[in-house]
Amino acid sequence: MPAVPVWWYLIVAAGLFCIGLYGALTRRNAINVLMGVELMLNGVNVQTVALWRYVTPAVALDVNGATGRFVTAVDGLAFAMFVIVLAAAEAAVGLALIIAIYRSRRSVRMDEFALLHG
Amino acid sequence: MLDLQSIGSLAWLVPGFTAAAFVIATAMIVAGARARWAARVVVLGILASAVVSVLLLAAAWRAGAEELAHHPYVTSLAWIPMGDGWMTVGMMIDPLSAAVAVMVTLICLAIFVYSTAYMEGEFHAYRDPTSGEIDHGLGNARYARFFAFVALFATGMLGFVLASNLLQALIFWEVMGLCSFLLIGFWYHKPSATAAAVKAFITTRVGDVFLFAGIMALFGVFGTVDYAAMLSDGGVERLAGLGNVPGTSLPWSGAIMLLIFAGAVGKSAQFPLHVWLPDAMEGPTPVSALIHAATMVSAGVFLIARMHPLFSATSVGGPADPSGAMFVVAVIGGFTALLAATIALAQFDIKRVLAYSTISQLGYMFLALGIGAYVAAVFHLITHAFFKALLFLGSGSVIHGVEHGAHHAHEHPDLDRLSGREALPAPSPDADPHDPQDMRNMGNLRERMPVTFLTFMAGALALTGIIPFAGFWSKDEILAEAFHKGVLQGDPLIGLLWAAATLTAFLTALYVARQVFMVFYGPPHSEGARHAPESDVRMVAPLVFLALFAALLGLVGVHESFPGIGPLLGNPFHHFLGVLTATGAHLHALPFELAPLFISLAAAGAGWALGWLLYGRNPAAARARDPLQRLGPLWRLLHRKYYLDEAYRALFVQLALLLSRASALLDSLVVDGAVNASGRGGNLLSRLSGWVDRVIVDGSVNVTAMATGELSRGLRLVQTGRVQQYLLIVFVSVLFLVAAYIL
Repeated sequence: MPAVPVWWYLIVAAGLFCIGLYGALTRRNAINVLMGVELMLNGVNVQTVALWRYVTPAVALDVNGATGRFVTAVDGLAFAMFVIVLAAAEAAVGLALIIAIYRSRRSVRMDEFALLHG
Repeated sequence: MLDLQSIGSLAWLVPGFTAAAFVIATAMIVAGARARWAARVVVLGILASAVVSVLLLAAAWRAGAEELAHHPYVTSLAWIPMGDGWMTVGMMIDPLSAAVAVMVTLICLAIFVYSTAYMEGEFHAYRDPTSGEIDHGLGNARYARFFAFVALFATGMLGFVLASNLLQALIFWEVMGLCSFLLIGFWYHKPSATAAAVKAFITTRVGDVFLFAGIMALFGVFGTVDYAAMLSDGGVERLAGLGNVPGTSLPWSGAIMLLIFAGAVGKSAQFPLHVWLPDAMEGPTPVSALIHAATMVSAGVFLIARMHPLFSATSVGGPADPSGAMFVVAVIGGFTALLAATIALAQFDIKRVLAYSTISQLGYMFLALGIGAYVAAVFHLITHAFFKALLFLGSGSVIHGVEHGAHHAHEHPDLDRLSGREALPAPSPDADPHDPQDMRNMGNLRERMPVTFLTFMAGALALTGIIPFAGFWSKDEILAEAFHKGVLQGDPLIGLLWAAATLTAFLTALYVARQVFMVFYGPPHSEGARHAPESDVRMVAPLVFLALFAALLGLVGVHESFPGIGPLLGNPFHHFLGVLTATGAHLHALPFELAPLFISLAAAGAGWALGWLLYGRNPAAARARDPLQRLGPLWRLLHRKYYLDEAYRALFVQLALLLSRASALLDSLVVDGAVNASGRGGNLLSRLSGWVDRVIVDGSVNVTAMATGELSRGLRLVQTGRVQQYLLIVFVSVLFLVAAYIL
């Protein structure tokens, strides 16, 4: 087991998430909001990977059981990879949207975009 | 030339001419032509009918009663298709119809001519309500209308007499009833005239309902209503063999014939349906003469005479068999004759006396038919028609004269003073001094209206049966037959009827004497009577014409064994009518008897004598206070006509009113109540359903809408359109969820 306890990672992850959330909620600039979202995603990634490493160690048995080989479970990593890919796609789409908005409105200020209010 | 086979089909023209006259006169009224021309058309029409009917009678005479009875001449047209053949409409000529048709046309002719003068008052009788000027247009139309009506009436009577079947007869019978209604109510501006018209119509209708039922029953029995088929030997046997009405001892034949007789009772004003005839005197006097004395009222007698073979069939044990219909006919006739004669004694209206006399004489005819004296009944029908029409026209002439006299006196008020005549006697206390029909206002008209007086006397002597006037021969024949069957053959019931008839003959003479002395003798009792002029020649000539018949017509029916003139005259009437149509049965004249002749003459003579004693010696006193008033309550009973009108009013009219009121009450309470209640119920239900609709259905919809509205009003606050706020909400929500999960 590594010397660093798992909750250190979790605190880092929670901090990243909270910073990202704060940015996403408070920034006026759409780019900044997007950046906040990225931070939140990465906070989640950190937590996912950390928990994978500590909570589910690679001790899963071979499904046949007969060979005795150890198999490393990679589901936490797979989650993290998905999130990274998703974040990339999200960033691409989000930036494209921002550019499109900017073209029509000449602004990227989130508080100016309230056309869909009730 | 006068061969019935070659001219028989002219019978259509007899009612045809008058019908054409009616149509033309009506068209002339519509076109506004001069009424005198309409009257001339009608007189011409009846003249043509009279000529044709005389020709037909001559042809029938030549054909001979025997031949005609076995093969009555019938000309007919198909009318209604029936299951196996046709119902026909036709004209039948047999001795009965030929003789009566001539009587009807001659009397109609006389009365129509008379009316052309009598109705002239119409020309001046109507004033324009706004300007008060005499309305000549209206008078013209009403004068013409009178002639149109009487032409239609003549059509009805002739069509009835000549009809070849009962249904056709009924139709013409009803035409007569309609004309009677129209003519009684001719002066419909008088409430009494309209009331009398309605009374006549409804009372005769009571009889007509029975008659119609009887005709339907006869159709049910025979499958036809043709006279020739019904009255044949086969028909008579068929009716007689019908058996009894289930559950009673009354034979079907008697029941059916009594239904027919009920129709005759209504039309011929016999007790108990006689009450309409005196009131019918509200009509113009020619109408009273034509319809209510000579023709229509004798239609009932004619009908019973026509159905005589069937009536005989109902009385198996002879006329006095109390189970037979003939007995009922005889008793009703005899009772009515006596009843009406007593009432006639106590009437003051000159026409009402004659009306009751008519009822009484019609009763004689029914009595004769009921005891099987068929020929005598028809003979009396014909002679009575002539002398009663004469009497009515005479009374019309008197009324006319008194009215004109009153006008004359009114226009020259100082006439009496200038001529230095004595004052009028004191008026009768309860007579209306201006009523031109009240006999108490008359007197001395013998001098003022000599021709009217002489002709009236001819009628009066005929009516009372004084030899040799027509009424003597016919009435004596009835009395002789009743005497023969009742006294000589010892039938107590018919004997009683003979006694009643003889008493009636006495009473007849008494009331006729009373009338003659009151009207024509003594000093005048009113200005009208004092200045009455003799009537126009158009009124006097018909009087003379009819007076000749009243005096001489009886000679055709003198008994062959009558001393002196009997064998000479040969009683052609009996030979002509003494063979029954279709059956060909011979009605043999009874042996001649002197006893009934003397008894009836004595009765009539006694009546005249008593009349002279009471009224003739001092007519003025009799007019002031009728000597019969000494009878006290009996007089009142007679004067008020045995209170029969009052009784009918109390019984039937009140009953009908009560019934109608009850049904009106039922209508307004139950029927209207049910309708109103269902209406109210529907109203209530719809209100309720409206309330449910409004409050519950609309309410729930509105509440839903309102709730949605209110909710969305709250929710729209959340939708700010700002992405970051949404995100914050999501975050907070997740926090809540997590908190909820943990806790």
